[in-house]
Amino acid sequence: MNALGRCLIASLLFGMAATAAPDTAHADEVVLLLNKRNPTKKIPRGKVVSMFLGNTAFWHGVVPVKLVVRGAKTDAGNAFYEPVVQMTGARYEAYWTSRQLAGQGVKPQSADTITRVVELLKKNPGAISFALASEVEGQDLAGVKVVKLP
Amino acid sequence: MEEEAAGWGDLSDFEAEETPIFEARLYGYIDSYFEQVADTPAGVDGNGDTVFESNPYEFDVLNLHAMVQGTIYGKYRFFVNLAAPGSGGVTGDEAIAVRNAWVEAPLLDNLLVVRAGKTYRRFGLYNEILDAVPTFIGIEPPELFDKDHLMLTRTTNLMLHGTAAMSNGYALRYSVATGNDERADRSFPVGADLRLIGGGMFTLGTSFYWTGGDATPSRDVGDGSPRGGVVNWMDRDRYVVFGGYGQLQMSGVIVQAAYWQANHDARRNAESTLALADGDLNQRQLERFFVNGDPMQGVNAEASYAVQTFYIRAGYELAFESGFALIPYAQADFYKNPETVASKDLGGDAEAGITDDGQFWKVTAGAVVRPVPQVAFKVDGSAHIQQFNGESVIYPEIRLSLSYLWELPR
Repeated sequence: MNALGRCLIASLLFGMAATAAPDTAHADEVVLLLNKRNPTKKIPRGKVVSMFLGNTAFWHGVVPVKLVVRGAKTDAGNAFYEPVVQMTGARYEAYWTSRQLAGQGVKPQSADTITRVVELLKKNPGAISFALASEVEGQDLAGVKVVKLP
Repeated sequence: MEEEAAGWGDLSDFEAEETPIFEARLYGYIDSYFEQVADTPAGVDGNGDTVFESNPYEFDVLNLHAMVQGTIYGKYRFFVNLAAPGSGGVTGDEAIAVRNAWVEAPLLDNLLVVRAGKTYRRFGLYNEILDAVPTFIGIEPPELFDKDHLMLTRTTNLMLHGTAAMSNGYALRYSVATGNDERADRSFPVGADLRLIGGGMFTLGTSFYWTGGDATPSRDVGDGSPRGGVVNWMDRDRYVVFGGYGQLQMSGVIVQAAYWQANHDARRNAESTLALADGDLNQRQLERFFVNGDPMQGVNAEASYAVQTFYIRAGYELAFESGFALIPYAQADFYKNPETVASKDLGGDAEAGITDDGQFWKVTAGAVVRPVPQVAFKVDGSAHIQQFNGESVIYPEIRLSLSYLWELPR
């Protein structure tokens, strides 16, 4: 088999693996995490997209929205960016870099672990983040509340 | 809507939370650049043959930016963007320019925001993000905002803008702006932009600009290419710019397209126009500027003309697990301007101005390589296709750009 043939087969296998991966992630529900002081009980999915794209800047016109995001390659990132925001995690990062360089907002703070997410959410009343439901099970969520993603 | 409102609960305790007075981020990027343009048509010899001139290769730091963006009480935004373009020269130091310096206050949530200072106007896909070189495909800006033949000023002073978020995640973004621009006396220039943003998938929009009366040149003949839409040899100009644009992003594919037209109703300044005769004008330009094509017989004062441009850009992002990304891209640009001339010093563009008919095509192919999201290496090659001395002439150029984003840790 020549190099081109090997390359094509590798691409096919890679493609199959890539399409299989999100199914695994979808099995674990994505939930939204808010600061406990935030009185919001439910957030429409469109509003979530709008917040994470920087198009909604305030909670009910009052408190600034603070995004806390997860890495593009994390399980939570895989389950959130493409299915919800309709961008790959890498493109979402580039989107915010472009906005930041254009003065259209500051890049969201990134947190690697659920512990760090919770820590940041506790500090900021307007903070919002996301996680897999399995990640928050058994965590100390004092100061944080979990809202279902519609 | 009712369901959404019901979800907000009691806000009184929420409002009582303290927000930091000052929050700010300091960041920027460095864009190191190399360009080599092949021999370009420069004139016609005694035998009627085209004469080509060679161009030196060029190293530069095309873009060097330091930016500060922040908020006061989380609501009142500010942005400072300092730049030292072309600071790669070794025989002199470039001055630092203030590209943007503005403050912003929300009047009605995100629905209505007022911005004042020096701001890039919202116009098409690129004007606001041209200082985000590491993030977009391509190295050169679309012809609309090529600094050698700008169709309007890039910055303005007062902008009312807003974003209406829709329940499906889409958003309508709008803006109206005015400022000093190139206005003369009591003219009231107005720019506007309206775009529909379909989540992370598409953007569709239209932009408009009107000088609102007389506008005057930003530079004199001999001082270089104009900084707006009025060319250096005009007494006054009234013009409108309008067009539409779109962007689609889906599964690694990005496609962008735009069309722009500027309609000018201008009057040439006799003295300034006569100064053009010192440059290399072709027969069409001589006949356009001077009575019977002869500078000795006087200047054709009235100038009504249209500038047109459109482009299509497409790329495909191959992203790898390690964070490495490769984005091959292709672009096609068209630009037509019957009024410009060859000499950049006189106020021309050395592109449309050197052609027989004031128009050219530029096709480009290249790739962005991002080993990590903060570093972008771009390489591309272009070919200008145009008419010169009655024949079709193609000349290539190659560019490399290596840009590093930087920011202070939080």
